[in-house]
Amino acid sequence: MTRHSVSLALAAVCMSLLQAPAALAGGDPIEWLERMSTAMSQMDYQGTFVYVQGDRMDTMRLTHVAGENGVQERLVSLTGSPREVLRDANGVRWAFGEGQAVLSDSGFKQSLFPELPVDRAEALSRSYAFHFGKSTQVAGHEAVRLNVLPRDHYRYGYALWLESRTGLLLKWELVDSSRKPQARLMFTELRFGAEVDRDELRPGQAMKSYRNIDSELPAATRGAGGLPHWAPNRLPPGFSLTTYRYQAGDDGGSAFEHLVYGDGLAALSVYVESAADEPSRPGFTQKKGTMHAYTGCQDGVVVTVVGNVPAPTVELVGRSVQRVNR
Amino acid sequence: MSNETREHLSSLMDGEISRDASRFLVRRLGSDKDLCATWARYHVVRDCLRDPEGGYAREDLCSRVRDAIEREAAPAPSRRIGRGWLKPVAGVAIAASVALVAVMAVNPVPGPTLPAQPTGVAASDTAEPFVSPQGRSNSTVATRAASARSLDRYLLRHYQATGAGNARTFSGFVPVLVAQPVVGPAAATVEDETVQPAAEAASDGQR
Repeated sequence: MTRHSVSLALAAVCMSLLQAPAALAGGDPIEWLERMSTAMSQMDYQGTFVYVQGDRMDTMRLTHVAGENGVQERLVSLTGSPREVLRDANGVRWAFGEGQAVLSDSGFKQSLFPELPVDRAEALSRSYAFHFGKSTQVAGHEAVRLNVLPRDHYRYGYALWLESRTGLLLKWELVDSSRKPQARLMFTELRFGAEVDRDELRPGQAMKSYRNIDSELPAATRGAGGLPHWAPNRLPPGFSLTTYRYQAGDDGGSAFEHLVYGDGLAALSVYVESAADEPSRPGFTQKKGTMHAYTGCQDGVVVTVVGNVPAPTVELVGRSVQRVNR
Repeated sequence: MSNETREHLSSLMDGEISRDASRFLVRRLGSDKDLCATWARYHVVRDCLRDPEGGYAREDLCSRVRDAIEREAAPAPSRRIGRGWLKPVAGVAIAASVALVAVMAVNPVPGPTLPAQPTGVAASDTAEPFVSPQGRSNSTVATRAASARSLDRYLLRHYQATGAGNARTFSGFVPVLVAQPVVGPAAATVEDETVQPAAEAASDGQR
């Protein structure tokens, strides 16, 4: 082999290495989302991440272990007031900071870290456009960037950085329809598999210090089923009813209804509560973090819509809630 | 790990350390796991702050980070000479960002909640709890605190409902934990509230 051919071979190898990240970004976006969901729920992982939203920056530590007894998770703040969340097969316990009790809730199944239902990934393409971005390194791991962008202004989108071999979520950005970041989460250090220290699942001081009480949130199965008495007659494209539950009033009528609508990625809750003595008044919208809430009072009910969606979404839905005629 | 070591790491990242000191530090990086982990975190947070695609580390954020660090009495930034690795973002935040890591990731202390200014991430009002309709016209601290607790329960109910079955969504608990909803029986203080009329709903929604 001549010196020239050796040089060409070396150049080819270098080029292939340089192009490796781009090659990682191939494949089906839905398959990457499914891979992410599987990894986030079934793998053991542990790391420190930074969460930035608005003018606030929080550093947190997450431990996730999927064992024979189900998933065990512990999320603890490393900055600010001591906050801690434990999740296992018995539910969730959380301490939200100094001066507050530890709350527990057996009906809480929410993962502490974002996961995506595999069976709904296909439906996402109706509301979101997918494309791969520039691959890079996050927390020392090769990451594939997948952009999940909203097709309208009724929902947020995400930029996801997924570990190239496992699909673990290393970083995400919540973006609005104009691609402006609304929040950002990024691991600064992440280990997985046998490297996970399970001792970190033990409750910390914040969890031990406070009085333990029940959250008194409605159990997930209470009042499930049936047909809504009240419902919005306008929904953003792609949203459909996924959960309905109610608590009947003394007279047998509906005193409290909770309807959950989702598009596979975003979700919003509609609460309708009897308030016969409340005068009708215009609704108003509030923001908390990236969440929006609409509250209005009409026809003897208070309507509250909350969700991690833009303001126009909760307003559209909240203002259209009407009694269902059968 | 001493502040001097952290400062040396910062200088090493900038290429602003003497050759001998550099060799010594690199040798230590090969054997000291804590030092190596800190080194890695410096790079990660630098990338997080810089974020060339998202314009994350803008000058205003950099200056705010620097101010926050000064308030936290973090290690003094090293003297900058020559070409630093944060030049693309105006070269103001390297010492601050590295010192910030020392504050946040290496030796966590309360904070850092930065002064309210626009950043690469849209502004928030996380300090402002929900306020129920009942609390609008009767805004004593007690009733408004109760109202905030009530509306925070809506938020938690929502997260509870979207954690299982068909309602599962891509959310996670982190935003809730950060928002610190008022849910317990303890007294809560609501200092302020802002209510804005709902804008006209867009016309292209559908049932």
